[in-house]
Amino acid sequence: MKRYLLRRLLQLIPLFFIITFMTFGLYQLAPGGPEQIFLRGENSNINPADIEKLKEKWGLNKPLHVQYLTWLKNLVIHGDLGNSYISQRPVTETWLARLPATLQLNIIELFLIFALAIPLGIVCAVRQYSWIDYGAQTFSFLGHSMPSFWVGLMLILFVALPSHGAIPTSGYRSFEVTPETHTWLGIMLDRARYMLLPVITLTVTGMAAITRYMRNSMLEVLKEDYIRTARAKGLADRVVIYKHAMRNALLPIITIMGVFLATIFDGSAIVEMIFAWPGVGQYGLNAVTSQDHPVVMALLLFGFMVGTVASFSTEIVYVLVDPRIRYS
Amino acid sequence: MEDYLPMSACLARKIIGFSGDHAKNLLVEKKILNDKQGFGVLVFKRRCIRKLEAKRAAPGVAYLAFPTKQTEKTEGGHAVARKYLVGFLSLLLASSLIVSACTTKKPSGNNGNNNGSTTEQKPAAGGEIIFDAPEDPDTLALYWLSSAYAAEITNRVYGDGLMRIGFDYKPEAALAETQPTISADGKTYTFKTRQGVKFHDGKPLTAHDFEFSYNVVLSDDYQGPDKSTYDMIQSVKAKDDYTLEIVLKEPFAPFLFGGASLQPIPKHIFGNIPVKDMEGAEAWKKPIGAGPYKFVEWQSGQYVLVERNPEYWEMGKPGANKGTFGPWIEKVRMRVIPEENTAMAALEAGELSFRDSVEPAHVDRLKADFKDKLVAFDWDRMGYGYQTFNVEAFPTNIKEVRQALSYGLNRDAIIKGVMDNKASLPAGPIPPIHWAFDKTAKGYPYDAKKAEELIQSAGFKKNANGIYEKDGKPLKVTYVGTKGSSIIEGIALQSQKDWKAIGVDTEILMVDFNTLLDKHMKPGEFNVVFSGLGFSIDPHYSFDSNYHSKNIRLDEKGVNNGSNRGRYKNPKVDELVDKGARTTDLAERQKIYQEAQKLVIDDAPANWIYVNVWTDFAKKEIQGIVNWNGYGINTTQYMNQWFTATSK
Repeated sequence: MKRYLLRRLLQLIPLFFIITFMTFGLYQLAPGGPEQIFLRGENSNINPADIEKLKEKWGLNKPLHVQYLTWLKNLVIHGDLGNSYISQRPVTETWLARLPATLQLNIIELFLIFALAIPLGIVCAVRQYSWIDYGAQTFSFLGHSMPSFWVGLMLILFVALPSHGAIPTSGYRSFEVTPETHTWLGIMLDRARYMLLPVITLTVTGMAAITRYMRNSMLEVLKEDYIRTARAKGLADRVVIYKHAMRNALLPIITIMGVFLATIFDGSAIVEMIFAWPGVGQYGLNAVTSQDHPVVMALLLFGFMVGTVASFSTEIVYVLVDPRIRYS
Repeated sequence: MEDYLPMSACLARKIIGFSGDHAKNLLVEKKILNDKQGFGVLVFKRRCIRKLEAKRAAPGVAYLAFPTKQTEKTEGGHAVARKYLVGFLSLLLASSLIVSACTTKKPSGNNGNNNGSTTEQKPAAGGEIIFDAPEDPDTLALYWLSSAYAAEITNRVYGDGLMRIGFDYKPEAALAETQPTISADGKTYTFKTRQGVKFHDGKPLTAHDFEFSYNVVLSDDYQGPDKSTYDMIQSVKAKDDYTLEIVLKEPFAPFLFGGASLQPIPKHIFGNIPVKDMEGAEAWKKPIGAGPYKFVEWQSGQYVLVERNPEYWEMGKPGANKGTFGPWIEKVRMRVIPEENTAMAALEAGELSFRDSVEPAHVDRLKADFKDKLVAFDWDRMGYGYQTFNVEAFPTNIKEVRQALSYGLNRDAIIKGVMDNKASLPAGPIPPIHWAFDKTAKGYPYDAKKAEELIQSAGFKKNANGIYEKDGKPLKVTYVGTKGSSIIEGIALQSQKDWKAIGVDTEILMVDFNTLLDKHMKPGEFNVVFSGLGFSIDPHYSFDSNYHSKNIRLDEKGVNNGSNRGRYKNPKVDELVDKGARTTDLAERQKIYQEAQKLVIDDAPANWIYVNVWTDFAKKEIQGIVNWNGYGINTTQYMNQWFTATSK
């Protein structure tokens, strides 16, 4: 097992290089450039000499592999992810400032999705072809097909606007609710008001798939021989379902959970844009559109690291959960 | 039950039977109403109603009246109890209303007139304005920011420069006491800077700060978006604490419109930082300027907050439309809302104080549905949407073809169909509201017959497909525009349709902006390209960058890196534009630009399609709003006249 993990870790190194270099390269292929956007090149009469000077200052006129190696060197030797071109502040500074907002949203969303989808999937499987089953399946289709920005906008229009201020249309918090004027509980309640609609949007659209997976997985397990045995033994239905069937059905869900966990740090850019949620997703999207290379590379790196940790943890959990699995 | 008042035995049994502790928890209040008559009331939560046979008082509350003395008149107790409860509950309701009112942001102020142009009330300090921006400011480093939304904040923190554009669109003195004295050769401008102006940290603003600030943007190490604005300056020197001398490289009249409005940064804060390191300096995190608002905080991705500077130099001076300059509004907050629809929802929910340049599709609906909450302000854009013709590529290199394309486009149909009737027709390159506009200019009204006549006069003949051709080359134009805007697409389709009717074949290509620039505009791979232009208040800049031949900068591959995208060359126009830059007398300049405009219209290097009418919406409670035609209500200097609080 240890050797297996070590091997997997070593496999990561070439993967890291491939991913970062590819992204770096593909990115540079896009027309325009950060210096154009910064100097508003299309609107003003900037002397091309000045554009060149800026390119030189930012190191953009060097060949591709040189730029990449510079970035890599800064990262590995100095631990420095660079400054954003646009704001000239360190990337990590802004990223850390934005991260809590994204984490709050995503952790609650993740918890809700699994807390709701797993029981729903189980119920659907156990009561197959009942009203609940059909209802949940329809809900699945709808949730999967409705784009998150549409659901978000509908919620704003039909829930936030008619509520006359009880539920705000967008934002992160009320401005007058600060630690100085309100208690901890008051602040939590305030945040909950603002979080309500984004979380509903994310949960509704995300729940669909998990419900279906759980249902299908459960149905397959229920057909197994050992379930028949358990029932024949005379075990109560509840025990059969929750103790025996559910645990086995959860295995594929664990994989999915691992994937989901990896997205906690990324943030859902679309929902954050719609609800003006000051998170990492929005930050990343802005960086991509303004071709802010250091930020994009840094976010990619974080995503990669988190994804790796998540997939590793999933594998370890797998071993713990299913005694049949052995890594050679 | 010891603390309960003496009451009838059967009532006591009822309550005890209900279980003593339970009853205590469900009890909201007990009160003696009328000691002489002897009534009291116990107010319970609603769910006791059945158990205790209590009477329903109001949603959520039930009551039981009881006698405190043994008297026969126990029935009247209920009536008295009801009266008491009405009082109690209205108090409860009132207190909850107050709590909820505190959480919604309603600016205080009376219901004054809604146009705000003439006000009888005297403004007083107070209130908060919240508006939205679609993106977080990139940086607050004044000379390095390129986002208009960062400028919303820095304009308020740093205020004006020596000169600014006045209400009549001509330059007026701001931080300079008066208009400068100009030397005979037109190169040296001497300004007397205003005395008594202080930065937000209390230190005085002097000519030395101006000298320092100018030298930052003139330095070789400065690489920022504003570089070309100050190109014409040779040197800047502070003669003494309040006299500043600026020497230009050549006489350049537009200097007063643009170059003289540099916002000064404090020398005592930035003086020790070399220019090449200045952009990322820590001091920009808490910018200190001399403007009407002081920086408070910036929560990245959420909002930027600035608060009123009561020592602002213009405070109390008379402003436009008989108003008074403040700043009066205590706090100004810029919220980040990236999605347009969410921002509209926030405006409708009352979370924003105003929104400028609302999308035309929403304007009518807002005007109708929100008549009593929002006031609408219509204004003409100082700019237009237009098509640029490539004068070097066939067939747009033929003047008659260009004129024909201009005559052949039904701009009225565009304004009605695509722009919801929210636009007017420009006649030429200078917008109609500009001070240099030639009112006699006619432009190209829609005339399909004349268009075809022109094409035929250039030697084209219609072929079998109904398209004109000459020497075997059909009259085909490539039309490029940026994708993502329904207006741009609508105009492209209308152009295609109208030009087909006059025998011109149009190929439409919709691409993203960077591709447009790099693959079409610069290498000249287009016949018609659509764009929008905000026309400079000094006509020189826009005229020069679009129509002066020196701004065609071709490299060895034929790629045009200059701003004259259509590659238009007319030596007469060049001469006029250069002359206009040298003449300082405004009346003279107006004549020069009008003549240049005539020439450009005749040559038809572009087709000017529409001047938008944009609409801003503001909450009714805000008074003192100035609608500056060309720029709207959201202008830094005139927002200083807004107020919501009044003094008696």
